[in-house]
Formats: sequence, structure tokens, C-alpha cells
Amino acid sequence: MEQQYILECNNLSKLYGQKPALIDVNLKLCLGRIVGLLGPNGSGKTTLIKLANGLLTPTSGEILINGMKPGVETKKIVSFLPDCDFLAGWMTIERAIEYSRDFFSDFRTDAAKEMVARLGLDLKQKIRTLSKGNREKVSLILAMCREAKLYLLDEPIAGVDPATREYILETILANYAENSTVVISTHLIADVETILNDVLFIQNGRIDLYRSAEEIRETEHMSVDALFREVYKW
Amino acid sequence: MNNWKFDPEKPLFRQICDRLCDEIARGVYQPGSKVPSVRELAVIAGVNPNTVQRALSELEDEGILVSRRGDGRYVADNVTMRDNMLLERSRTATHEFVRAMRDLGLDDHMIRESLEKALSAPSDTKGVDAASGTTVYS
Repeated sequence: MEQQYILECNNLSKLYGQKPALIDVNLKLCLGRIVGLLGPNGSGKTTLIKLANGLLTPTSGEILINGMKPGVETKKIVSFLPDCDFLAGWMTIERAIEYSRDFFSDFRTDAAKEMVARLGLDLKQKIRTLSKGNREKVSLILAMCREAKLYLLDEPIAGVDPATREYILETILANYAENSTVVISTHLIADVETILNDVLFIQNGRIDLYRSAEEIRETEHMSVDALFREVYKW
Repeated sequence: MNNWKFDPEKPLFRQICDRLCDEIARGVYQPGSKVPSVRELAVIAGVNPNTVQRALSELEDEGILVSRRGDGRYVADNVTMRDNMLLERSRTATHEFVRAMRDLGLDDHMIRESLEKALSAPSDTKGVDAASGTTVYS
């Protein structure tokens, strides 16, 4: 039997009009990995993640989640954290938690409430009254409180202070489901590299490298950040 | 997280092994006591759980940790091993110190002198936890 990959791209391309955003991407991700999708702004990170969520459709080629085309069935096993603010401002934190619970049968409601309490936030507080950092934390809690097979986290640490960054990485590590795969897109490589199994370097819509982070350290005697700078030096 | 500092240019699993050996040698984890789970250590250290797993397996192979089925990992019940480890670790630390000083261009006489000076100086009170070498903000 052929091995089932949690995320698989075969000759995947995406054009926005004439402009290519992803070009002939071939990729196979296994379960049980934390993968860094690393690339500068405009490299295609968000396009790839949106394709995996079915928010965009491929121009050519295919993308498969656990062997299936993105759709209702894959949304049951994929937890997605968008790079933009997605929570409705009028909702209370509690309402947002209930909303996630109603949508996803794998949602851990009690864990989410407990984590909100640990942040010192009031469940009755409206989303719009939260600071940017706290809004990001609440969004992340909602994403990580699912027992998913694949977590797609788009820029979870962009634009937050170092303490919040640490909280976010810790929350990811402490909460992702056993034997699931986590994809973290970011351009802040030095901040995430210790938590990654594998790294994907992406630029101009092409995946240029897919390697184990420990192997990079072992064979290149280099940090992932340093290798990234070397691969993309100009 | 996290007072664990890593050199990102070297394999992390080795650094995790070294750090845990240090902590065992210093008695943070006593012989026969339980060490945190893979997931707990990953969160404490801010590293990938697979990397922690690899480090713990390595320490098991070396006989420093033993795993009890379904009940996590324990520090081996072997007290002499602790002294040996302390000796081993201090030997490594000394070699590293000497190499670093020579890299700075100091000769043996200058190294001895600076070591004497450091030993006779009152211990640093600027918030450095001498045992772990990490800065403590209290």
C-alpha cells in the first residue's frame, strides 16, 4: 500500500491572473512533524496554506490532505490559524470558544477556557476590547485546542513582542495533538528554529529546500537561520 | 520556557543530553528520581519533542536513564555513576575553558593567572546563578 501523507502536493501551481504565486511544487509531509515553512514576504507561504484549506483552488496540479482534496472532510482534521484577524469583534471570548466547539467536534472546550483563565482574561470580555497580543493569543488557543491531524499556522508569531512569542511557541508545543503535524509559516527563523523538525525554504513560489533541522546543524554546522541567509544571499 | 540556551549551529539533541547530564551530576535530578516527560521537557526547553525523544533515548543507551514501561523515565539508581559524570563533565568544561583562552591568544602563564584571579574574586553577585550559568532576573 502506498504511504498516506498528511499533506501532499503534486506539480502544484497557482497563478493570480498572469502572476505565478506557486510554481510546480512537489511536497510530501508525514505525520508527527513540526515543519517550518520559511520564506520572505511574498514567497508563497500564505498561498500554499490557503490552497491546503480549500480557500484557493490550484491553477494546475493537485494538493491532498490525508489523500483527500481540500473540502468538508479535510476541515475536520485540519486546524487553521489565518495570518489575519478573523475573530468577530462583537463576540465575547466565551462565545468565540462556543463557536469553535459548535464547528469542530474535536474541540477541547474546557482546555480552551482554562487557558484563557490562565492568561488572566475574562470570558465575558469582548474580542474587540482585547489588545493585539491578547487577540493573537486567543486565536492561537482556539486553533491549538483542536485534536487535529494537521495544524496550519500562518505567521503565528509575526508582530508580537518577545514574551508573547514565547507564550505562542510554548502553547503550540504543549498542545498539538500526539502524532499530528504542525506547519508554521514565518520569516522569523531564528525565533522558531529550535522547535522545528523539518524546514521548507520557499521563495518566488518555489520550494528550494526540504531538510531536517538537526541534519542541517549536524552536517553544515550552521543554524537554520544562517543556512537560509546563505541559500538566499544576493 | 525557558532558561535553556542553545547554540543553533550544533545539533540540539547533544546539547539536551549535556544539559541533562549536568543537572543529574549537580543533583537537580537525583538517582532513582523521575525526569519530566518528553512533552514536558520540550515545553521547558522550547525544542521539538522528537529532538527531546532522541536525547532521552541516547541517555538511556548510555545507562544514565532507565525507562519503566508506561511510567516514563528515571535517573539510573547508580550513585557512583553520578560522581563519574561530574568528573567527566568537569573535565570537558576545563578543556573548553583552556581552548577558549588559547583561542584568545593567552599563553599558559596568563591562563593560570586569570584563573587564580577568578578563583580569589568574590563570587559574582550580579544575578548570575553560578550553578547553572544562566542569568536570573529576580
